[in-house]
Amino acid sequence: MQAIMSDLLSLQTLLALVAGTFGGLVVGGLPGLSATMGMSLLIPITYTMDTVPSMVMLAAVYCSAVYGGSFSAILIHTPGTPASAATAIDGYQLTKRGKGLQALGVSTTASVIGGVVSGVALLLIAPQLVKVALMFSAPEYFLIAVFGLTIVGGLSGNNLLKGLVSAGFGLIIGMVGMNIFPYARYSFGNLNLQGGIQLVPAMIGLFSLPQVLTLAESRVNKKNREEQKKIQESIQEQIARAGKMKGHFWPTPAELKPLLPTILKASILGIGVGILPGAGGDIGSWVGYNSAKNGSKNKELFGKGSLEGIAGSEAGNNAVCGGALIPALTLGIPGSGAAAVFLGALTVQGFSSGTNLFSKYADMTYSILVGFIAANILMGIMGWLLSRYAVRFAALPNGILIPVITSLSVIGSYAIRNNVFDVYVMLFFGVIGYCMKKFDFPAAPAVLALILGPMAERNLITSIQMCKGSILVYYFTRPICVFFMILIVVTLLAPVIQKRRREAV
Amino acid sequence: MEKDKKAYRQSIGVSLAIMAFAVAAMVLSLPMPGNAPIFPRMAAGFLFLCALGLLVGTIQRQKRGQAPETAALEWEKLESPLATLALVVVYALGFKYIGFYVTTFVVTVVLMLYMGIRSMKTMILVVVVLLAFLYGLFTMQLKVPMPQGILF
Amino acid sequence: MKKILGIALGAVMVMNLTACSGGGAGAPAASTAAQAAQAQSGTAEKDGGQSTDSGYPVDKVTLLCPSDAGGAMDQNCRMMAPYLEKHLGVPVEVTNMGGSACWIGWSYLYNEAPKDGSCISFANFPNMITGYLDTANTTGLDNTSFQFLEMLTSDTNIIVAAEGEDRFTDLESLLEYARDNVVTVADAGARTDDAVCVAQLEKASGVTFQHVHFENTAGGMAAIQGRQVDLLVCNVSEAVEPVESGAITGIGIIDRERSSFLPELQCSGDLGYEISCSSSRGFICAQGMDEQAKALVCEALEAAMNDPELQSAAETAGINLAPMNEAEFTGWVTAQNDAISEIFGMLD
Repeated sequence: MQAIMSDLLSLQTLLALVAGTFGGLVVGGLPGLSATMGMSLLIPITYTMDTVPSMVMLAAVYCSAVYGGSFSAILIHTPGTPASAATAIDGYQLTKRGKGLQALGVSTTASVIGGVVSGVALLLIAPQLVKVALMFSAPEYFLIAVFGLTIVGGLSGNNLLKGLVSAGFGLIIGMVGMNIFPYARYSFGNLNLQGGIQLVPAMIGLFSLPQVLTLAESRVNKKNREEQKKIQESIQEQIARAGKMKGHFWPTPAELKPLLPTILKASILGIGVGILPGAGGDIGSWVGYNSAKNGSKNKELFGKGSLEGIAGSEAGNNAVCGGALIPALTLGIPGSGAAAVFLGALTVQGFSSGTNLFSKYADMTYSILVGFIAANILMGIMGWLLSRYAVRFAALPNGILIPVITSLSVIGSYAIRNNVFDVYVMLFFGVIGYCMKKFDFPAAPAVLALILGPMAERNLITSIQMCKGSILVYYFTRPICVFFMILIVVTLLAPVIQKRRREAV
Repeated sequence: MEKDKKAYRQSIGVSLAIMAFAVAAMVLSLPMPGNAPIFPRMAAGFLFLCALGLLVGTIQRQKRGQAPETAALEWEKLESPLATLALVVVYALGFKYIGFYVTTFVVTVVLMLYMGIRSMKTMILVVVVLLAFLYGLFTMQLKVPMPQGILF
Repeated sequence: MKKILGIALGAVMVMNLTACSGGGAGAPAASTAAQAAQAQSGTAEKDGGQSTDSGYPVDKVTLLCPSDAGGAMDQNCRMMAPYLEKHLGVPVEVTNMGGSACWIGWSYLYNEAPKDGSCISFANFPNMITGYLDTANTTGLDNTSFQFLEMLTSDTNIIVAAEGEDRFTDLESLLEYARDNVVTVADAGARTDDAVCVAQLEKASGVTFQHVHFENTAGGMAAIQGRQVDLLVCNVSEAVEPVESGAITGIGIIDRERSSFLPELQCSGDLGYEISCSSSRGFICAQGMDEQAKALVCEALEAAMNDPELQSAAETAGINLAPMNEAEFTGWVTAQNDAISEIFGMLD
């Protein structure tokens, strides 16, 4: 215990913790930069640092970036990372009604709880959870992806068909490239398309460009000097007034109580998603959002500004962070892309995953894990301190927001892979996204399909390769698969059954 | 009513465009070997059917004389977004040739002017803070190599 | 907004402080020269002179990593960069350009990057070879478009089974078993070194396996430890720790000689097969690069490979250094090209 505390409280570690948490918030808050990218770029710095500070810094960047994405998602309707796409839907609705601060508060609380719960799980029951995780393989992943796609209906608002069209579009886009087959589909001979459409630029395009164009709609055509003068004054007022966002940040105990079950459920699901290799924060947030909606008594609020939705999505995505480190540290199998980078940095330090980490090097490992939990708490505090300023940013006049969001979108899309093509992808999806918005097609199902479509196809193909004999028998002899199949059928039939019941009464 | 007719025409047009996209996706999947075309064809077929459903629904609504679900798009209202879009396109396509920071500077100023900001103080402040932040984060800290344009 | 900027600048300074205070254990810091800025204010970590009295024709070298930041190739490049800089005498900066299985980076290297010695790249095998052998590759490039300067690392392929596997215990018994039974073997993708290894083993032994393609080795490793598949093909560096801890069972090495890391495992050479499969990576440049620059780079790379500091850093990171100079490397690539061309049709 003493060794752990002295490791943790050293100046280097504390500095690393603070710098990592803040850096992660910035990286996450900026659309186009993700946790994985931020961590990768920090690895060279960790070469010259000691092990505990460098791993704590990386872990801090990971969890605070996932949390930081909710800031831009809520305030400017642009998810800072793919893990906050679900938060953007309801979060921005709340900002429009002047409740942005409250939304940020709920998001912060949910993220901190989700992260701490996953950190505790990592600390206490990692080996046991791993045994369960190993029972999941391609067949289960396929069904999880299909199950995920069934919530498209819930994201479509009033018009189910339009949501399905959006999802269908996302499915086809996900099939571009050589991701799954050693054959380049829909690539038109273009080398960049052969690698597939990257998720982040597409997402930035679908969310932030339409946002920019919508803000531009508010431009008033100046007809005469009087009107011009009035506009100038109102803009001046806006700039001077920016920051009068009403409301309080931290949810009151009364507000928090109904949200707690949602948060805890989403956290546990998030840990599960994190443990599964190949499922990261983006899937965790949808699973959390969906579980919040299913358990909610106010389902109609979802999509229009539901605090429960934000709580579910943010708890889910932050719980993935700790969850993803579980198989990474115990088996060397990273549970997400960011966890893979974390593991890589650990390797550079000279340590490999496995039982050694929890026995011979236990002190070091536990210092890192406690540091991870500390980072989750620290990010909540930093988020709270920064929220006042962040919220002022969202209240700035459109004339300032438009160029800022535009330039961040462009550089963010470029900076992912240093490839100008990604900027073109962003542009393309921006135009499509604006058209979708104008004709009331929801964008969220497209993003969901873009993530889950390839996951479903890839795992179906792999499961066919794995089975020795009949694929149907294979699926039906796996208990977890049977569970998910029943779950899918129930989810699809539930609205129909409910409708029948109501009509019968 | 003229407006309603226009709205319906646009909605029908959108449904037809989506169906055309689905057909294109289906046609492009023809040369795919092995198991590769299965999912694309399923997705394209699914998309086609949904768009068809939308089309049928829209026509039925029109026949019943109901108000259209989606209001018509007016060109006047679209003028500002389209102008902004044009600027963004120029930005995204041009920064590779002209240099990121110079292009950002120009586009930021133009957009601010377009949206009605006239105060010199505000414009200078925004430009300086934005460019300093972008430069400090992307070029200095993250060391992202910007494409070499003619200018900076 | 101003306050955010202030805090941001503060954090940036703190991060730099942390980086500097952490160390300087002798390894020369990698160059921080930014490409865009002409007037670069000297940052604290800048080291290694920009003097051209090293004789190098240009004053900066870009090491193009054709894979995204954070991955194994990126880590290899960033590990090597300071040592290359030390022995070459000019700053070396790593730039990432990932996508399309490294072809975006390699295409850029050949088509757009200057050939005056300012740009070299990193390549992984057999990925490059399976890439250009694929008819879908529209770049028009192949092994004759590049020059192979120095190999960095080579990681032999190994076949492993689940813990407590009793149907077979080594390569010989595995091949025996597989002649009459369906055996699933997991790999990290249809065109990876793992799949190439399986194909070469199938061709040499006449036994066929059922291929199961995962997205990466992590998926395959989870599958084998969960007993979802019969075998996993991966690389020795990935398998050493789980085999030693008992999480998986080592079956055999696909190489002419046994591995020094797991010497008790049979190798395909023991059974008389002349195959050698590995995941290897090395430094390349475009065909047509300035001859003088190329000679200097080769010299510097060889010197760096022999640098004891690099060797110790590689050992700490678990990277198996496998130096091969230009002549050997080029010969190796040609041999690999021939071997893989023969089995390319077996990759599905």
